[in-house]
Amino acid sequence: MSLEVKELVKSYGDKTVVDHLSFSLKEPGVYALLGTNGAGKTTSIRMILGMLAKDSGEVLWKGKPMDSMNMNIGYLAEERGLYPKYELMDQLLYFAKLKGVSKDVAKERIAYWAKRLEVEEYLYPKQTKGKKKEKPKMADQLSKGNQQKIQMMAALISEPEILILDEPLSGLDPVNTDLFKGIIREEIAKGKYLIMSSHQMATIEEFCKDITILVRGKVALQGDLNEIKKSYGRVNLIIKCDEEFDDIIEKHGLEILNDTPDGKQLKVTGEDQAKSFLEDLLAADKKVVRFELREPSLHEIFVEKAGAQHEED
Amino acid sequence: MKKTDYRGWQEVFRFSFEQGFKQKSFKGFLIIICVLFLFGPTVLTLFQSGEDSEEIKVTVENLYVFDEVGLPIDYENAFAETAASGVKVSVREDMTFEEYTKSIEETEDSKDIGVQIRHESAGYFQLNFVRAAEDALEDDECDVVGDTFTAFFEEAKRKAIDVSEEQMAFINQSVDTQVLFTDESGTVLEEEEKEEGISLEEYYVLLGGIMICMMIITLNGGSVANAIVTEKSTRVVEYLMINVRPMALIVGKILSCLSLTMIQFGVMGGAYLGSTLIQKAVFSEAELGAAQESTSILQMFSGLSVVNVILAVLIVLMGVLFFSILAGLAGASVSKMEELAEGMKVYQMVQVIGAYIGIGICLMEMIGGVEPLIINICGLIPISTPFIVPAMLLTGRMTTVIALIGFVLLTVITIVLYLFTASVYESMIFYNGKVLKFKDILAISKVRSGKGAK
Repeated sequence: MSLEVKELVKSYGDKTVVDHLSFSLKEPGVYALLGTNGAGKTTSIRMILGMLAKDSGEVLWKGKPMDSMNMNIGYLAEERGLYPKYELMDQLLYFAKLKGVSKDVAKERIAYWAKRLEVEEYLYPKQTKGKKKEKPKMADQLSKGNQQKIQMMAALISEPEILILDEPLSGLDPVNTDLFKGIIREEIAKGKYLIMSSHQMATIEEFCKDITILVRGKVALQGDLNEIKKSYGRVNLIIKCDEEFDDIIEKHGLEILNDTPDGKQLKVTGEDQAKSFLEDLLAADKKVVRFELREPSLHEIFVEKAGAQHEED
Repeated sequence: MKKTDYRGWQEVFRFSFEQGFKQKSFKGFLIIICVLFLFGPTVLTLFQSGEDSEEIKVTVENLYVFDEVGLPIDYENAFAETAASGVKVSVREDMTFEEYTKSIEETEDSKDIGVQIRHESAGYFQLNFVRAAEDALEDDECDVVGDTFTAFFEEAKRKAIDVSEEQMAFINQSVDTQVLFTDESGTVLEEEEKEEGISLEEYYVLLGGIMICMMIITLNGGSVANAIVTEKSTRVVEYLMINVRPMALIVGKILSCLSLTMIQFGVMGGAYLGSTLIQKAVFSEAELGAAQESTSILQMFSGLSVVNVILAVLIVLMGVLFFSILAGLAGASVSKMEELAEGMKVYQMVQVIGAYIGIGICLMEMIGGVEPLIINICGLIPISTPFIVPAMLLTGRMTTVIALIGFVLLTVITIVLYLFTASVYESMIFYNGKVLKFKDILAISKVRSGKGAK
């Protein structure tokens, strides 16, 4: 077991923002920390990183208390930031220096990542023959997406053992989203430990094996994503027919979750009810175009859990 | 506090210093003060000496003397070997000064001046010069004639009673009286020293010292608060705090801002020194007239000694540190740059009160003197210590012991403020919302100390 978070608690006055959070990363891979806005994800990450003092609990790395000051951790913060009026190269070299990376090594890595993330033009000003050399770019001269790339470089510049990505893909266009996803896959392949927080459930499903859903600081759901889905069973039935079939839905007393041109999404109790429903459709001579029985998506699980917790509160 | 709490402050210092130095505003400010301080005084002296050296042509033809004193003075040689040597001097006995004045009332294009010499009952000599309203003379040449004749009269007056210049100066010294008391055994008791006010020159020197301290503190405090809000509002602090703890961040920031401020003032001082050297090389002492002035300024610093100078510098530095930490706290209390002015209110109020106590003491000293006890008490108030003690110590108005106590008190309060800041800074740096008031910061401190955060 490499990274273990035990019973983390953080309160501000009477408000508990993180309430006994525990999880672990047994092997390299991506762990997802999910939650609604204000659920306590960023506070949890700050405590894991040692930026914020915890009221109780501990974070262990290879069985010993984790000390971010003496570890190589990369962090892409949700609230991204660069100095608006300082040169980008200076900022990256500064972040590298704080992580103990020498200037020469940092320059090599910056060159590599600048090429990989397609931001060379901002870091290495051009000098056209006969013209004055361009001035180095400042952060406030870059688009939000390009600033995000520079921050990703800052997170990766020390070749960290643990990479914490807080909403890494928010605000990126599809091309840059794929670029970032490619980098995340590379880091996983290198055997890195990643903790990812995101509101994009499809991305989480794509990368993460284990998840924790936080709702108002409390763990609402936790565990292996596949196991969680299995535990729900195949209860989502998506069906599309050429003719109307509302009478049969009514007969079976099914709840319509969603009605789209692609079909109706119904909630069934299990495979038996779905089978019986299909038999009735065929008996009524309905032309079935689509019949899909599947586990709930992470999005659905998340909405259900977060919604339920909100109602309880 | 752990050692790791301060790890990385050197990197923070280096980066902040380099970036501050690279800023156009900083370079621009340096260039402006260099030009102003290096060439400003030289150009000023050049103009002044140019004005002084312009020879004034004296076209006055006659100076009529109406002597009502009767001293045995030969007025006819009054202008010998002077710029007004062409002026003929005659003693008029054919008419009175009043008659002469009346006679020239309607005269046009006259080149004559009349002078009445009389002794006033109040105990002084009065020289009254008169010229026609529509005469052909310039004011400047009349001034030359007037000044030269007055100087001649002063000299002649002394010679008339046959005393040397030194004897005259000795005689003219003021007379002070003192009443002494004896005790029962007949021993003379020392009279209590009366408080005397300071001269205008001394007031300017003291005020200048306070203003320089205020400028250093204001510049430095503003830079620290600005740097902290920039990191907070742009969220850069999120990245920094993985490897650097808040206290290392604030220490690095304060020291870099302090270094940049010191560079600015160092350049100011260096440029002024350079300007003095240039002036000495270019102008004569007479043109400068500065040697006497600098000697008299030095005489004001009666408390000047190596120990006192070191102590004064330490007090200024500690004061800058105290106000910088306060500014850092003010900076951390806001989340947006546009809220900084609101967050700095308490800081500015404390600084202004401190400086005003110093200015008040100076004013009171000029008006009629201040009891040493009051100066000492004001000097021991930590917020006014850096504004009062260095100036008072170096001008001999405060003892080294009192200054040392002031320094110790200021150091203690700075350490207390630093520890308080350390306890709340981490929570404040991640806080995003409306401007934190002082009571909110106190509440954070109470919560933090109550929990014993790990």
